[in-house]
Amino acid sequence: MNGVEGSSVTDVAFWVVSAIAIAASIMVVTLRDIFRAALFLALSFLAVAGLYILLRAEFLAVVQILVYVGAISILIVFAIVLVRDMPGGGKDNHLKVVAATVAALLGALAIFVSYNSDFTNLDALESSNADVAAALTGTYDLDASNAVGDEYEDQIAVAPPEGAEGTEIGIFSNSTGSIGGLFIRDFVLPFEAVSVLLLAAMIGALALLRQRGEES
Amino acid sequence: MSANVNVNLLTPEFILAGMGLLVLSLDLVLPKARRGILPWIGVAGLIAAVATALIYRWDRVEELYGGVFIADRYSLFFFAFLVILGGAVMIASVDYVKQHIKFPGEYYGILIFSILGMVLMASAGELLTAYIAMELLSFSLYVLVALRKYDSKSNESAAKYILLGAFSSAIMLYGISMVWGVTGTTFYDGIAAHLTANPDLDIGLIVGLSLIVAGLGFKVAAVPFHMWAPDVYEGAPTPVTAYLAIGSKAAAFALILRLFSEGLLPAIEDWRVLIATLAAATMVLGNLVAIRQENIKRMLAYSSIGQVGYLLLGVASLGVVDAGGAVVFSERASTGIMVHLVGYAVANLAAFLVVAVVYSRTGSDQISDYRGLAKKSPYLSLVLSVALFSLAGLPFFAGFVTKFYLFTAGAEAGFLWLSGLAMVASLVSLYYYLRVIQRAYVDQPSEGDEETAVERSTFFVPLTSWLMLGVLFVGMILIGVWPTELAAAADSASDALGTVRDVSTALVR
Repeated sequence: MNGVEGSSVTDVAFWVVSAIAIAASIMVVTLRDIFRAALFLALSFLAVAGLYILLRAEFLAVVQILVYVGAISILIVFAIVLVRDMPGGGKDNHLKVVAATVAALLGALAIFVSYNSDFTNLDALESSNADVAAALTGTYDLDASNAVGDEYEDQIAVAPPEGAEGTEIGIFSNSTGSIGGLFIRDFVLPFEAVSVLLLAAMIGALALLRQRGEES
Repeated sequence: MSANVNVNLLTPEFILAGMGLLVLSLDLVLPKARRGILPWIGVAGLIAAVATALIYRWDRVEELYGGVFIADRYSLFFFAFLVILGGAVMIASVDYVKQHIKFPGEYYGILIFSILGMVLMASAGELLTAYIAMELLSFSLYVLVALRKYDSKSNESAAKYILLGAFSSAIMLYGISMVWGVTGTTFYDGIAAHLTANPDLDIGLIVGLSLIVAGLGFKVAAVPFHMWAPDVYEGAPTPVTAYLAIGSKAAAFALILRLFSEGLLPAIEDWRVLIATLAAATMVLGNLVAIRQENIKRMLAYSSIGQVGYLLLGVASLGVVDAGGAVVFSERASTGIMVHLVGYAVANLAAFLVVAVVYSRTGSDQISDYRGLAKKSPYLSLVLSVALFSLAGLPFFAGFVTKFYLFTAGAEAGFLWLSGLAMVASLVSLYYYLRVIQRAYVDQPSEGDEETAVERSTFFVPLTSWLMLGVLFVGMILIGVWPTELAAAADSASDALGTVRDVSTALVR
């Protein structure tokens, strides 16, 4: 994200949000009090939603907040409340060093890969990053006459032209519309498959939760 | 382009989904005594789906939704194979479900949904669709494994399976996201185009592909991602174990075969050694550890890990680099994989069905308890012996022919050492298969021995199982002595993989 003019605000926001996400994740795995760990997990999810906004994936950010912060974290908290004699944190075990080493190696690999690899789709993102910076400082204006803004405005004001949803710019500038378009056009089949999947999972969950008395 | 999608082509899939719903809801309205009819309604639906698929798709090659779903001979082959396999598992479970499961509708309904997931895995032309289809299969399997919830072994195995399944899915998704980041597409042909244009692999692509291989490795239980398999196989209800060992593996290989031959083939030089190494480790470890097993389900689990090794040998041989440096798709290897999958499925299903019948009479899965089986039930021990011989690859049985196809393809692609290793591994497997057969036929109780569970029990084989075993028995012999038809079908399916389809205008590339 470096090197793009006018993106310093984005940079700051990125580092702050990332720091929050990382710190919260560390708290999740180190805290002994499971309830607090759950709350930090929610915070970590929230920070990841912030990262999605910075990546201009608003739809994903909203889904992240609804599903992860709103549903999954609450579910975990409920589980903690209902299971009263929850042990306070896991026991120490001798694999701690091994686990830490493996995690550090994998982390290093992930960082190495993200620095050294040529993620072509990110180019499109960088070129449109200036808009985000403008939006964050409050100077972004739909009527602004700069070229980038106009291009962006066109894309949100009117529906994307036929066949344009898949272009790289389209993915990053109007993600909600693009995702919706993809769901009902190209990816309608997997979309429907997901509904069958959810049905199977739901029935399975109900079958497994049935009380013994109702079995007869 | 979406407007003219030929939805008719999807009729077989709609039938499958509809049958699943029908069986589920019939369970609610049927009186209890009549619920035994449910599996047969399901089987009728499956037959209808296969028939429709054969009619609608016989000579069609079409990409729906710009390549998300591919209808060709390959999809058709796996549609027929996987649906028939699912139907066979369904029939094989009839006796088990009658005894142990109170609500058969749930069992059969979810089984049909999982079949839908399997056939979608074979026809998906795109990573995310393939992933979702795989999850549809996996979620259904999680439920099926856990369905006996008051059995602590079943619980343990279900928990292990769900956790490791979710873990492997996450690994695979991470890999998919990296591949997308580098290539900008999740479509197999798009990935192939990228690989052809950029022969030097980007580090992100290498890591992404390795993660995808690891994720798929978990699903097929290849070494070193196999640890969950024996525990899960042991704890799950036996028909479900058979389904895990056969259905989920066949479907995963259907996905792997299409992904590797249509998407990753241009980069074969970069992954063939990796896959060959996995294959070698898998066949050696699976077959060696199987020797030490005392529980027959665990033994079959390790033996099926060994079989995955043979199949991976086929995957590593999918392409041959010719003199000019171009990669040529090896139809022989893909035919070998398909033929071996069929032979393995028939033999393994027969073996597991015998195990299920014996368990329902004796309550024991210990190999030592099989002493006296030949006297109590000559039929069962005959089918079991043929199944195990076929798995080991003795002539006249399915396994010999199918292994022959597979190992020849491996040797042709330059993996002579691996094919040799596979033959040695097969010899090793013969040892532990023979141990079971020796138990059943030869061993006599010596002075002072306790009676085994088999000797104590009264034996009769339920009619459905009896017929099913008969069909499988004939199948094993038939494939063994007259494999031409099957090989021809697999050949034409391989043709479809090798042909470059007319890539229509897709919205997302």
